Amino acid sequence: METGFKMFHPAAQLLFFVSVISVTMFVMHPVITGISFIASVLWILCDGGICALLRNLKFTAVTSAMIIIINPLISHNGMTAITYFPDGNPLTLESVYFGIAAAVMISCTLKWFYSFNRNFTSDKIICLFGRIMPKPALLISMTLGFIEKFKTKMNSVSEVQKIFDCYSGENSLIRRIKSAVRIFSVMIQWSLENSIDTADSMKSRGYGLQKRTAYTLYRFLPRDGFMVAITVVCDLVIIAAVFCGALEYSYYPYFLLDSQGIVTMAAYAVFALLCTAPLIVNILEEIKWKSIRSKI
Amino acid sequence: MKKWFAENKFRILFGIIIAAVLTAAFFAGTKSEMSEKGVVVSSSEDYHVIVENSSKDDETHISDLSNEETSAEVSEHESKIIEISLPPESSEKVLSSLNEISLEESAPVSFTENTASILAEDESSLEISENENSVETSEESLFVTPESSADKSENIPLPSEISEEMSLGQETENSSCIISIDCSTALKNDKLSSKVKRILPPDGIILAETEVSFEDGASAFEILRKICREKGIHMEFSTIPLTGGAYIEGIANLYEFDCGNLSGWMFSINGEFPSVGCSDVKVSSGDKLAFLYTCNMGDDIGNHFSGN
Repeated sequence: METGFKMFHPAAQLLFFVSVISVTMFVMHPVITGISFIASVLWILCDGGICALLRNLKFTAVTSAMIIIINPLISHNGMTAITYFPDGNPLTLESVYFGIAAAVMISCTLKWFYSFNRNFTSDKIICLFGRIMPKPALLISMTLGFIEKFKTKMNSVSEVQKIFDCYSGENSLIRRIKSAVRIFSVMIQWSLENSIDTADSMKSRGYGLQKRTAYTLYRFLPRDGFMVAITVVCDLVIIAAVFCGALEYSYYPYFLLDSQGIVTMAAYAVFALLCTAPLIVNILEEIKWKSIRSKI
Repeated sequence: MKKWFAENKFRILFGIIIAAVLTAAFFAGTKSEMSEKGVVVSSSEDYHVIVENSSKDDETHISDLSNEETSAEVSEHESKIIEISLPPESSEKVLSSLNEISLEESAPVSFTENTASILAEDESSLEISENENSVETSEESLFVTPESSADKSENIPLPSEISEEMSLGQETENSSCIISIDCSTALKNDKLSSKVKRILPPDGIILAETEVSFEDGASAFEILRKICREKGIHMEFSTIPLTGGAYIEGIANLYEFDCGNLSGWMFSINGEFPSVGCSDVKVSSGDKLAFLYTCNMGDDIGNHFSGN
């Protein structure tokens, strides 16, 4: 059973993710990146628990560490030299700053995409694009479903093959290669057969006789409208702040962050609100649920 | 024997295939290296052809000549100021600090004399480039060096390997040339971002004409690297993998392509622009070396292609 933010209409969710990811990617302002990072960590923690967060951190930590190490090695721009490399190029403070900022930015973009993937199941894709472009939407959702099916089938086939290997008693390299090739051929045969089965099944149920309609569980409720309105207003405020120069930042050739006006503060607050909107929704629902239960 | 062959035929086959692939890769690699070297040569020729097509204006050439004259005047002024602007206190300070260094490192006399000349010119050239500001602030406005620029004598300590290398180099340094770095063309260009414009000197002279001593047979690039390190001027270069030549990407945070597609750093020796890279040109004593920023493939700094 889905609760909280996941129950919102897919359009509202898509708008939220698109605006948060694009602001994070295109405005590499240190404060904005920091807000986005904290919010993404909290949201994954709230959404998938500590396990999902650790799995994601393991994945992004390597990327981030590589960016932090490599950027000062290849980029020597900047006014403040910390020391010199043996070949004579300077190691600058600015390139270190930029490496850290880029690493955090990429890591939190990956986090948002990760939670987007967790949220956006194939039924939501069908709901959004089923009317506009029915065939591509069906294709995407079938492909996504097929990946999961393929994984499950491959696990069961490889388990059977392992048992065969145990019986034969031989465990040489060629034996293992033969086993892997056999698994591969089984999977190819299975997927071809499966696609023919699917095609037959779809034809027998009348696919293509009439225009396709899509069935969805989701309805656009007032709360979805409210969510969309908040997202749009936040986006407009941030875009206005960017264009009037309130979110000015500079990494090269000198690190600069000289925006302390009220517009800047407003932009920070608005972006924090936007990023934590799903978190707030979930917490509010939790409080409501607790309060209802205590009355009984 | 037959049985063994039948059993192990896969292993033999794999071995032969791997050896064949490695041999093929080896020969293909050497071939490509040779062909790439050929490409480098031909591309440099193409480059000249492009320059020939683009260089037509003679008026700019004249204007650049006048610029050179003015810079010569500046150098005369500089020499006057050297004489005037060294108060007795500071010279005593420099001398005492030099004595300390010579005691510590037991360097020969030529070393101290060279440093003295460098130090003297350090102060005077900075006074030329920004008369209003004090010496230290003008240096820090270009590039904040790891070594504190409060005391001039402390400019000499450097990271371990390099300082050793440089002190060794200074013992045998017996030639000197004049070097200058100029980016006044960039300041006139509209494409230069205001961020970079803010940190460049207002007159465009990053380094006024300065005498620098070097080891015999040093290339123009080595001299530039040495002077940039001494004066705390930012300089980034990349090394071309096959030839090992150096390419200057940016000086004082002014980079290639900052003023459009045809902009970048060029250098001249005695007013002539060599057609090879700066690490392939050997500088002889008394040469006049100038690194100039161009916004139009050298057309605006007097690098017209003459036809050869």
